Amino acid sequence: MKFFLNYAYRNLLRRKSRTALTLIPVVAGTMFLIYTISFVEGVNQQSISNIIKYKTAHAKIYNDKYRIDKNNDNQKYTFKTDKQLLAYLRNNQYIESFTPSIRFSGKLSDGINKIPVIILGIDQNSYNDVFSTLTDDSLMPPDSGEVYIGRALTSLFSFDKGDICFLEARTKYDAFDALDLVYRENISSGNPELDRNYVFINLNNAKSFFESEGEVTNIAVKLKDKDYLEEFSAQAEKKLKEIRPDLKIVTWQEEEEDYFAFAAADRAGGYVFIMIILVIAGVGIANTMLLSMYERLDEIGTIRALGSSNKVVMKLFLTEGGIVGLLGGLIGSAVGILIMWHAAAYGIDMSSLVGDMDVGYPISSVVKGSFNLIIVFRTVIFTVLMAVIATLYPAYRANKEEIREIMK
Amino acid sequence: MADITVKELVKDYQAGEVTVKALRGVNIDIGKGEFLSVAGPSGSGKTTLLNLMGCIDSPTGGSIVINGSDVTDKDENQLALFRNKYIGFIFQDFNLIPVLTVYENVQFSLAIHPDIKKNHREMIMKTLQAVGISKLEKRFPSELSGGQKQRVAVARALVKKPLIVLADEPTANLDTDNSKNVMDIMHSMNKEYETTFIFSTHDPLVIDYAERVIKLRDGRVQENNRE
Repeated sequence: MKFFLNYAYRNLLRRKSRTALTLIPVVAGTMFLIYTISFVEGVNQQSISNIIKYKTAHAKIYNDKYRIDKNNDNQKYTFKTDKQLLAYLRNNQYIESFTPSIRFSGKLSDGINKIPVIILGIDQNSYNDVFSTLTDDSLMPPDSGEVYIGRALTSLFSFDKGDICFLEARTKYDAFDALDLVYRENISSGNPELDRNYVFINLNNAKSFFESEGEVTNIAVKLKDKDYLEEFSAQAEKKLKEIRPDLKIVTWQEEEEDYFAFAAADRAGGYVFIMIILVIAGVGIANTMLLSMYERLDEIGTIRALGSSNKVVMKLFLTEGGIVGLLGGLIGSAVGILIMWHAAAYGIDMSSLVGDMDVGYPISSVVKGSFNLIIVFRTVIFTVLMAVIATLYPAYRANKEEIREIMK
Repeated sequence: MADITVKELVKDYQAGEVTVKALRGVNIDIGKGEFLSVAGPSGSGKTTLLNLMGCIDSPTGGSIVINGSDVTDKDENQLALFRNKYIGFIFQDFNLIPVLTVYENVQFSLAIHPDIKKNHREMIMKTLQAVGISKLEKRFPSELSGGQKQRVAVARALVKKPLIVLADEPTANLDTDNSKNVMDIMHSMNKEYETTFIFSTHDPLVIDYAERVIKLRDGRVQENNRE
């Protein structure tokens, strides 16, 4: 093999400038592939982090009738937080913190305009232990009539601190209710869904506004480690059946199925684009190898006359293709690592790129790529394979030529 | 038993709408260790006969039996293996691989050989010494004279110890001194290893060296002289 590696390597050096030109698309393709995978992985990791940190926590306890299907009128399904349930959560070895809340839909108004919103009634003290949404250190006083409003919503109404705003909603019993509130602060969480659609009020206010009779719609649970989720979920399911059969546990993955479907489709789209670049690089390699084959017909005739089997000729060409792929992959990876490092260290500010536009990912701040050397390793392997596959046709042609004809 | 038996060998080529009859029923027996020349004017069928005996072309009719094996029955891969094991080639234009050194050009024959896996260096150096170019082992073909290139080609053909060496006009691109040197080397190899040498040529010097001359004309054997 060493002999053929040496032979193939020297063949590539015969036409240095042509080999260099062939390497350019391979290098570019490798670089883009590394960057895209790093960026997509980074976006995915950050999206998941944002979903957990700002929206779902690791898991939520819901009324058993709650359905993930968004068309269901889930806000009717409230439940009591009795002592036994709270004791189970408080003493659980997997749980770091938990927080009860009421979530229901309504409309926000400044007295003139109205916009549909999601109203979240929170116990700010425990809420801040579970979620990172509210960066305001001072708490809303209990039973205060204050409200936090998402940044995008605030800018629509041009609210200033202390301004009066109104919430309208149907209660649990479908009665029409309204509430006057004082604007306290905007929410700029980094999760655009919250910043665009949510208002946060005190849990006690929400309970009476929604006529939930002291009940809540969910309890969000933050685990000590996300890896405990499977064990906790199984344990909680069993325990709830025992102490509260009217409740169920829903993990963040179950609640965010839509996100996974969207992310998978988006990733596939990105990879198709990169594949096209790599196919172009592959065609470049195939073309170079074909030119090289036609230039060396006499030599190919000689090595076949000397007794080289089709396998030997194939091995020689595929080795040349493999070297082009490896060189291109390594150079592309070196540049790709630098770009990946930059993407992981500094990232891209999504807010300056897309503003408040919904791009489908729960990110509105700086998106950082993932620095993962396995990506580089896999990309180099993939590039070498692509180059070897691209050389199959020239190798096949080299074997198909008549020795007598090409040695004339 | 003859090393090579050629029976009623016919080869037609299609040149557009014209059929060229390159060989028209050639019969030859060649024994082991012969030093034989196939002579004749251009277009007489010398190269075609060598190509057919070298298994790099297939006949239109007739048979070629080499070392007891009918090569006209073999497929492409079997023929490649047969050439690899039993036949060495020396070409008019030397046909050395330009990116490989003298040593590596000779090594190529062993690198593709299915049975010779050991002692490559020893075998190569011994062969290079035999043809008098062991000091040039690290040079590339572009750094050699015509005579030196043809010695490399001889070494490449002989290093695997083939049964037969086929040489197509081996001295056509050499001056008289180099032609004599190369013929002397091949003759001594023929004596030392009992390798059968078959040349196609119209060079009188090569014909003088040959122990037997087969003359072709218009695709037929005109003379088949044994010394």
